[in-house]
Amino acid sequence: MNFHLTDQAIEPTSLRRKLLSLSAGAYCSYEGWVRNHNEGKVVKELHYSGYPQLAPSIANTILKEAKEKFHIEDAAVVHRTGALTTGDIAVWVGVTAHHRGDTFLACRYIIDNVKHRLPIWKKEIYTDDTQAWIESNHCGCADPKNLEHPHQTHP
Amino acid sequence: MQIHILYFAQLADLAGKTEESRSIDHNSPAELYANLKHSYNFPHEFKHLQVAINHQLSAHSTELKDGDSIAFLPPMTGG
Repeated sequence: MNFHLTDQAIEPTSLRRKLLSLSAGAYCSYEGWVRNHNEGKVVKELHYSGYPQLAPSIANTILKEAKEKFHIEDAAVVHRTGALTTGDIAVWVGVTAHHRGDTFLACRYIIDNVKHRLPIWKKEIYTDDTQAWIESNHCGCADPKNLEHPHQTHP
Repeated sequence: MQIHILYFAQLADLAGKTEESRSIDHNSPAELYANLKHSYNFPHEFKHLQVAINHQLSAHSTELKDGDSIAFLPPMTGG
């Protein structure tokens, strides 16, 4: 399985090593970092909550879709749970392929869908000790072409 | 029949728990959610949540069976 939920720090170097392949000519990765601000508030921590009995099947569906849509060799996703501080890596995606073009496209496809479909939720903790569950990832960052099921209710 | 309910994210905070069992006399996820929304002041409308039954995404109209687990999933915000 190329997906893991973990409450431990994400180590991109070791994750990259697992994707090494002599037949791959390209590798592309994405790291989502905890930034220190959101919508005018200063963020101290993010708390990620996941649904571990459901997340693997959703993640593997996304990875399978990426392999069907793009000419890639392999792909993997790791997502953090628990309390993260600014600068921590919240999510990592890695993709290998014969050529670079498909690694870029597949990497974006995977992260866009992870953000909208993987059963993980984040709560922001602010420096004034208030907190809020984030209700939407619709920040305009996702490529709409990538989101076949952005509001999926009937699979 | 007995249904096991899992709570995540804001719903867990509002319910003050991550799971519970309830005895219900119907088989409707919508009716169950309406009761939970009333009990815990959940802010979401049923149509805005996804439903997972026995750890699989399921249609809102799926009929519950005795012993099922169900989770009502707010919009996902990973990454």
